Amino acid sequence: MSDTITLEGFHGTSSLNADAILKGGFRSSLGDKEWLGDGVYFFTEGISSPQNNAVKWAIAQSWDNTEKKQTYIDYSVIKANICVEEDRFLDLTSSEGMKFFNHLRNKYIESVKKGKVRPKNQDFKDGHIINDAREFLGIKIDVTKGNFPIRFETERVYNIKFRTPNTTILAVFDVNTIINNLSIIKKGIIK
Amino acid sequence: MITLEKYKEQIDTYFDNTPPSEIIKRFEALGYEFEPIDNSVDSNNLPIAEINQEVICVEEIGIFDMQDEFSESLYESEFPPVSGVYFSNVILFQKTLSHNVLDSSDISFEDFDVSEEFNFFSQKVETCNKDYEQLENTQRAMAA
Repeated sequence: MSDTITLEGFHGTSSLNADAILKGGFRSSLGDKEWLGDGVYFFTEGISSPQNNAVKWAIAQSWDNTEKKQTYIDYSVIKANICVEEDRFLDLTSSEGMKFFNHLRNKYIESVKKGKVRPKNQDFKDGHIINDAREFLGIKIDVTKGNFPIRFETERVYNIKFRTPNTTILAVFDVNTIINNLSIIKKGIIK
Repeated sequence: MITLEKYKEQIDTYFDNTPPSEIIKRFEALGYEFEPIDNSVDSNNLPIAEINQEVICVEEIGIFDMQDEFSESLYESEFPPVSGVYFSNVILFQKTLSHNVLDSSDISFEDFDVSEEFNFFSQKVETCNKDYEQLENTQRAMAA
């Protein structure tokens, strides 16, 4: 067994959700739109303040763009300790982690090339590759860390898009065993 | 930490022993749709002159590196985008500039993927004479 790494994660959501999480724990996000594969997502220490990012995320997510209305006004930020065995931690903010991912990604591309096909309706998503590697290649990836460009309220309102990352995030796959010491560190009202 | 050194053999062995169709099928199950590609053009059979010309384009235009001060200043400038050059590092250059100048901001993260080259070689090969002319203009503007 390898050494354990402990990371601090910050999760911004509605106060209602936050209370439910504190009582019943996190539910893992599944699906293809998650950047780093299945898991619960947190902001973490990196290229900007994770606490502020969690607040900004909670505010941005309160707006339902389909219904064109705000879905909550009370938000909370949950702090959690995330413990992961070092050899199950994929750090895409490091060159070593990126070399691993790029090699893996190239193998998927090669497979498509050998199959003489190409995706018709969408590009390959990083999260799908991570999920597939976890499930079919037997690579135990419990936590993935990466830098991402995220559009918060201001960027969304003013339609500002960028690709240089502004946040560092964690995707925690095994929510039951490696997230602990949950506490609400901030509550606020969206004006 | 998970590193390539630790997993390279495992990854390579898996892909060496797994038919591409199996992997493609898994992604189809996720909602991907695949279409056959036209393999009539083989990148290995490109005329050397064309390849060289592409290489010249790459060498002369350089790599856009956001960690480089010059590139950063270029990114901030009102610089015309270069079009039609297909190597991925040049595409990086091109698209980043386009993003800035034309506000064609709906560029997804996947645009920087190596699949750009894959698509290029698997679809249609064009010489970059016209684009080379643009590149020369670009270089002149850069020098100025």
